[in-house]
Amino acid sequence: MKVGVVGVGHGKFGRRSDATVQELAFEAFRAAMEDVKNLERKDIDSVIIGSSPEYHKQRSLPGVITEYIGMNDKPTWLTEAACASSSAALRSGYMAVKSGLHDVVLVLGVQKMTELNTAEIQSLMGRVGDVQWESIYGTTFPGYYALYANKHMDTYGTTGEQLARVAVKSHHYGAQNPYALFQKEITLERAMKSPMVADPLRVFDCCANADGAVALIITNDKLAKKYHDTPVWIDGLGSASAPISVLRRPDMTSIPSAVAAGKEAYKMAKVKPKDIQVADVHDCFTIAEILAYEDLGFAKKGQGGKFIDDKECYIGGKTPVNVDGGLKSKGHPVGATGASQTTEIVKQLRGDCGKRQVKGAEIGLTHNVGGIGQYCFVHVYKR
Amino acid sequence: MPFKYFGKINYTPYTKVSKFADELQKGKLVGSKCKNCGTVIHSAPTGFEDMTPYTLGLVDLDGGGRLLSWFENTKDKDIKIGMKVKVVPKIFEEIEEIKLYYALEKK
Repeated sequence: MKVGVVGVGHGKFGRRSDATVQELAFEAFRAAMEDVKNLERKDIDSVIIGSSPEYHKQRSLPGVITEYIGMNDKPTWLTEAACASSSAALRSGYMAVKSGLHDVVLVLGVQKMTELNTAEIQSLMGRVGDVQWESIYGTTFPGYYALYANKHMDTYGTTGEQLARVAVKSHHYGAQNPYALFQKEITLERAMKSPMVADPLRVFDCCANADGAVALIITNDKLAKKYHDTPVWIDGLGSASAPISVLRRPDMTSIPSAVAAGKEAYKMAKVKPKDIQVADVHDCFTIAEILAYEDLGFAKKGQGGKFIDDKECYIGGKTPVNVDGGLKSKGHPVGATGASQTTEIVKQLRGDCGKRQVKGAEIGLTHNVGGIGQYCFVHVYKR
Repeated sequence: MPFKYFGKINYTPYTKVSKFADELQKGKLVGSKCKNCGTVIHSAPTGFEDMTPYTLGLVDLDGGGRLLSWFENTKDKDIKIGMKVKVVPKIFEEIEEIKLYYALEKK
């Protein structure tokens, strides 16, 4: 049995003071229901919410959202894997369909982050490291990735300019994405002169916190064509974990869970990195995208900087990466990000991306990292 | 051997923390190299706002193990990957309790 995505619904990302978390979820759900045909609420067997609950004032999200979107009394539950929560939800949904337990599953990634101020979010995100041994020294999320950046620079000669080039690319494509938080191009000079956040990462090296929701509807191959003319199949799934603490990471130039998850997904889908025609990777920071080029095998180890220099990650290059603007331009509502990546790849494989379309794309990949790599989910999709 | 209680790659030995603290207080954790990396934090989390900018170092110790801490009494321009550092015990004094921590300094 194959499992495929038949419906996608992407809400607007940004500072959404106009909407509660359940209203954000409904916005995405409605869009997904408009994306499918012949599907009614009663046909959906379960609702899986992907979210990180610590950012919300509202507790018990699955219950609240499932009631609000009119899905009672269908079963519902939460998956949490930090920034990879909705990729974990998609994996959970895949297992439910593949097992035959459910025929149709709604996967809903949602997050409302702007109820907290930046320092509070820095504090919460800094605690995705080891609280006992690291957080007491004022670690932050950008700070952890800055450690990776400095080590990568020292080991392979990666430069601040190469990091900035990733930001320039993200904004180039974000400017063409109506769902992105930042829809403006930036210059290399502006990126390189922006204020320092955690040396060497500057403001334009960092994604922005955002509110938003994305819904996916998945089903089996017997029903898929009933609900959409072009289902996109989830052909490979890889997932791995790594020590939460950087004190227990042997190599600070690679995310080990991403390497392992990528290998597993490629093996299951029977493809190699060179076969991937479009990818959406977890660029919470520009260095994270460079690490992803290498961890996923798009570039050789240490050559991630050259990969962006040579524009191999642009449309027309070897492997177009984050041609929706990535987290960097779209914003990062942590629980919704994985589902947003899936939406982009589904649309690319359907051929629905307009100016951002990678022509003839039939195989795509998503790479969603939770925390500083304690979780990673890689999915390979085929048309 | 510094961090001999911490296993091969500094697996946190919660039951051995008192022994670690004892060695730290006796000044035995010195002569280690900052073999790994560091960063200067400019945008701080709640509770650390008044300290910015502050510099974190991730240090692979000569005798095995790794630790993360602040640099103190060291100029940023002097901090380089591969430099010699020492691990210095420090005391946070608070009203009802005394907390021990460690900092990195150029050797």
